[in-house]
Amino acid sequence: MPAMRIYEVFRKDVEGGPFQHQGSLKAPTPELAMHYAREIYSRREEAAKLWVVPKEEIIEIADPDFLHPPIERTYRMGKAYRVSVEKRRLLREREKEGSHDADA
Amino acid sequence: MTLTPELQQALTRYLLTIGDDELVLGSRDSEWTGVAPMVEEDVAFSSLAQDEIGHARLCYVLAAELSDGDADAFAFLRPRDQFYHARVLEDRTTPVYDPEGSHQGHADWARAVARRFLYDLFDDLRVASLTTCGYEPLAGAMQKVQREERYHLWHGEAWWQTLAGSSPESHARLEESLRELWPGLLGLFEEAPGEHLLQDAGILSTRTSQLLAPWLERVQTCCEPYNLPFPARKVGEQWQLDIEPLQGGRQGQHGPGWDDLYTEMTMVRSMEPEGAW
Repeated sequence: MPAMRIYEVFRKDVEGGPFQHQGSLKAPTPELAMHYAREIYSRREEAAKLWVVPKEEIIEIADPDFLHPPIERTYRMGKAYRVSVEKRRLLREREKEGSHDADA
Repeated sequence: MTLTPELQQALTRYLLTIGDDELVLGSRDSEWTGVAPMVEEDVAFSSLAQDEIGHARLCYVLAAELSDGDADAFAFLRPRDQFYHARVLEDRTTPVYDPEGSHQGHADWARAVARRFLYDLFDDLRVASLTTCGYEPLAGAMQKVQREERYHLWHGEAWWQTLAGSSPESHARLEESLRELWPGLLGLFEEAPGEHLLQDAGILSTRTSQLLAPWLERVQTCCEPYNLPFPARKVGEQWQLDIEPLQGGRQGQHGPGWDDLYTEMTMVRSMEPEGAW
C-alpha cells in the first residue's frame, strides 16, 4: 500500500462564505482523500466546496516568540482601534439623543 | 408511449434485472460497514453501497409503474427464484463475525474491490447505453445514475491501482480473486429474456451481451499493465473467451450465497408483509 498521508479538510457551507477547518483524514492516495473528504465532511450536510490539503504542505507557525513578541507592543493590537470605534459609536448616539432633546 | 403487453412484460423483466444487480451488490458490499481496511474507507464503501440500493429503487419504481406493482414488494416480497441478478454479485466477501475471534468465511478486500470495480465498468457501459434509450422514463433515470457512477469508477480505479501496484501480497490477492471471479463476471453479460424484442422495438440500443466486447477492451487495459490474468484473447477482430461464463442468474438460478442473502434481506419484511412502514 502507498504510504498513508494525513489530509486536513476545510469546507465552505455556502458560496461566498469562509472556508472553515473541519478535521482530518488518512488516505493512501489524493483521489481517495477526495472521496473520503466528501463522505466524512459533506455527506450529512452537503458543502458548497471542500479544500483537501496534505497536512505536510501546511506551513504551521507556532513559535511563541514569533507570534507573541517578548517586548511589550500592545499599542499595535487591534483592541486600541476597537476602543475608538466604540467611542465614535457612543458619540454618534449622544449626538442623536441631543437632537431628539432639541426637538422636544 | 404505449407498449404492447409483450414489450411491457419484457421491459419490466429487464428493469428488475438491472435493479436486482444493484440491490444484491449494494447489500453485499454494505457488509463491509465496520470491517473495511480503515475507518475512512468503511464510510466510503458503505456509502457507495447505499448508492447502488438507491439505483435499484429507481428501477423498481419504473417497473412498478409499468406493471401496476409496488417497488418494496419487488425488493422484498418476490420469491427467491424470481430475482435476476448475475450470480457473481450474490456471494459474501466479508468474514462472518464470531465473538470468539475465529471468524469464518472466504473473505478478502481484494475480491470485494475487484468485483466492485469490474462490475462498475460493466454497469457504466449499460448505463451509458440506456441514457439514450427509447423509453423516456428509463433514459431520464439513467442520466441521474450516470452522474453518481462516475465517482464510483473513480473510487474503484484508485483501489485497483493501489492493490495491483503496491506490494507482492496485494498483487497476489488481486490475482487470486480475479481467477475466482472471472466465470461469474462473464455471467454479467447473460441477457434477460425479451431483450431482442426490446431492441427490435427501438427501446434498447444495445443488448446486455453486446456490452461484452467493449467491456473486455476496457478491462484489458486495467489488467495488462499489472500483469494480471485476463479471461479472453483476440482472434482477428473477435474476442474469444478462455473461461466458461457462469450463467443462469438472469433466469433466476442462483447459488448458496443467494440463499443466505435472500433469507437475511427479506427477514424483517416477511414477518409482517402487510405492515405499514
